[in-house]
Amino acid sequence: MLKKRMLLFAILVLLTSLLAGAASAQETVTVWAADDETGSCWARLLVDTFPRDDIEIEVVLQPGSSLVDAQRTALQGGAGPDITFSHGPSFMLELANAGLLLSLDHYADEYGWDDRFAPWALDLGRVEGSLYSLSEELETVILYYNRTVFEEHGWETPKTMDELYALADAIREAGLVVMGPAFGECAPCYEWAVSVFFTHHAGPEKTYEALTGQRPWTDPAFVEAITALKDIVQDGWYMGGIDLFFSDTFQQAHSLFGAGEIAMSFEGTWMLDNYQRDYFGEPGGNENEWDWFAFPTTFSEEPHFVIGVGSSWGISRWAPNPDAAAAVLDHYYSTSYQAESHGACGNAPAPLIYEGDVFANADPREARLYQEFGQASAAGNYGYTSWSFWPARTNVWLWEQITRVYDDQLSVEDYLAGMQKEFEEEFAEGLIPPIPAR
Amino acid sequence: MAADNATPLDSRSAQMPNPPGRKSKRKRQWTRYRLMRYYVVPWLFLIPILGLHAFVVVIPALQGVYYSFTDWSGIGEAKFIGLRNFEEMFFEDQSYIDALSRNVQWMLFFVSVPFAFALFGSSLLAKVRRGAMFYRTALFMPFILPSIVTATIWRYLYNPRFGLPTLVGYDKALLGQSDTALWAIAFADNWHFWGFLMVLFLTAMQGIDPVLYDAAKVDGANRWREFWHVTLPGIRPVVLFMMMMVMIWAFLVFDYIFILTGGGPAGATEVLGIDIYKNAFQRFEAGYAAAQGMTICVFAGLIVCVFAFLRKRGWDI
Repeated sequence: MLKKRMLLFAILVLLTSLLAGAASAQETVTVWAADDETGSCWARLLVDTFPRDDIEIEVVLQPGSSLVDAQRTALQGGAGPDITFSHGPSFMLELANAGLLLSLDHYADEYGWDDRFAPWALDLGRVEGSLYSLSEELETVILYYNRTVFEEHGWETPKTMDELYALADAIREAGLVVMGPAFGECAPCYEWAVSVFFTHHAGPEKTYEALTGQRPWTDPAFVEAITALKDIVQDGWYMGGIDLFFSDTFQQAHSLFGAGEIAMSFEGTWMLDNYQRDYFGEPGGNENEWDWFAFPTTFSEEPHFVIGVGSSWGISRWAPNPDAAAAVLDHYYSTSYQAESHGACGNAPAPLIYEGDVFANADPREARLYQEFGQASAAGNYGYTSWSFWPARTNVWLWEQITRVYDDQLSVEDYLAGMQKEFEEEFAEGLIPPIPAR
Repeated sequence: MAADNATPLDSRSAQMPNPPGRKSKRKRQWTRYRLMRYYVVPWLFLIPILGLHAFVVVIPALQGVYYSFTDWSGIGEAKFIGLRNFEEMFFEDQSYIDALSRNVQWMLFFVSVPFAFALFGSSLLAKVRRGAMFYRTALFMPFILPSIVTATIWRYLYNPRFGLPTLVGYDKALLGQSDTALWAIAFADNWHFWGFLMVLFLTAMQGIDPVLYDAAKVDGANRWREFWHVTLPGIRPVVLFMMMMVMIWAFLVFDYIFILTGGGPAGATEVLGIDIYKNAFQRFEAGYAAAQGMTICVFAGLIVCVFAFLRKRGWDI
């Protein structure tokens, strides 16, 4: 009897130690997310939908708006999350050059990322041929319009720049403001319009040539593009006056757009979800509807889009379990998670190749955007957002100094000459993010 | 003469009782005890705070000095480049000079407007008996509000559609024009700050002997003369000390500008703090940003030296 009890006890001890061993074998992967509604939403979804039991995802919600800066400092100090992220390829390039990111090449082979991502998107994360980061949040800048107001006045959406100018005149004659938003809260946001005017006015080919060092930024085509942008800003297209464009908040501008006092909004696709949720219909206290169209070009009636990504993800050099971190990234960049995250949290989807009706539940206007965007990309009708393709110092020049152009403190020629100077320095230092070949 | 040169330890030794006994061993023990007590033990008590200070202030500060002589992106290895950052800053970078000039403008505003407000407010409130605490609390309240709250309040107050400008029929955005933005932000910051100065001045005023006011009244002094000849000299050390602090703080300004304009419009509110932030975190030129930060330390040091010099010359600071 005693022997049996001893045997039973021994088996129990063995089982317990095996279970404990199994529990301790679980690997932990840390991820930082902004401590806000969206951040906690996608992070919770990531934990809930992650299929593997042997890996635990530890989400650390970080308060404050400088999450990327905090993470950068932590990485430099040998800490920070295992899965790192930043504002986009040019920021990740800095981290990769500093040796703070692990190469993802063999994970790309293992998980077949080459087949899953849009080709240009995966190229964005390469440094000297090696993959260091994965792009997230597909972005472009479009013209939203208050459809109700357009229908009341019988206005058509323009397909050419000339039609856009005529529309702007009609809008002002009707006593409305041509477009928003205002950038009183966001100095870097001035880059949106500059990016669009380089591509839609000067042309994507010329912009590509400039980004690859084959054409100077002082080229007459860019002078014309920036002059055209300066003219519409000084003409009061934005917010009705340059002082309001410089000082109003997003909320003020979007509220006026929803209410029909501003006819259009020259905004990013990150607003697709927000307009319906906060500013139009019942939430906005009005009965208006919105829609969108591609910003016209000077050279074609086909829709063109600047392409960009909102952020990029990689694996920290300090990650104790890089294989586990790669497994988490693989799940994050699955079409199913991206679709769920988009539906539940309003996140813009990553630039993956989506087959079938993944976004069946999306708003039809949004579905049309992704459809047209995909067609334009396939046809080569795409350009470049500065936050994804410009090197850091040149990009700061681009959005910082353009306000001096608007304020007549700096000529267009000097603005572009300054950009060329910064670009040449960074080009020589090898700091240009990868530019996908056209 | 010897007494003049006595160190504090000597003077303490003079007050100590003679060591008991005559044997040299006891003397040596006493000397050891004295050395321990007056030289070693105080440092033992100071070690924790000195260690903490070294860890969070001295070492990062020395690192900052080193990085100011390097080409460093903020991550990875730094490359030593000698004085190149300073050369660029003073001779090539117009934005640094412009930012510095805005800090000087900011300083001039803050050593005048809030001080005028605070002196006026405190001299009025010093006479108030009924509801004095209410007024003091109400005027001090903005100082304890977070800057994001105060800045947001003023963003709405400055709105040309429904804010204060509409009261006078002004339809332009004060924060959206390059010639008014800096002063508009300074005034918002002043609204939050002057109550703090006022409370300090009020406290200092309570230390003035009331007999001096009685004497001034007997001499026929009006309120202005009382203020000029009694109040102001009585609180002068506090006023001058705060002036020194405000001059130093003027080089550190960041939050209100960052929240309200981010340095815009068209760079009109770009002060050193904003420029440093951009260089460190947006342009990835942390070495250059460290060099800019170093110059702020030098300016603060110069201000302290000027006040120390004036004090040596007999100013009541």
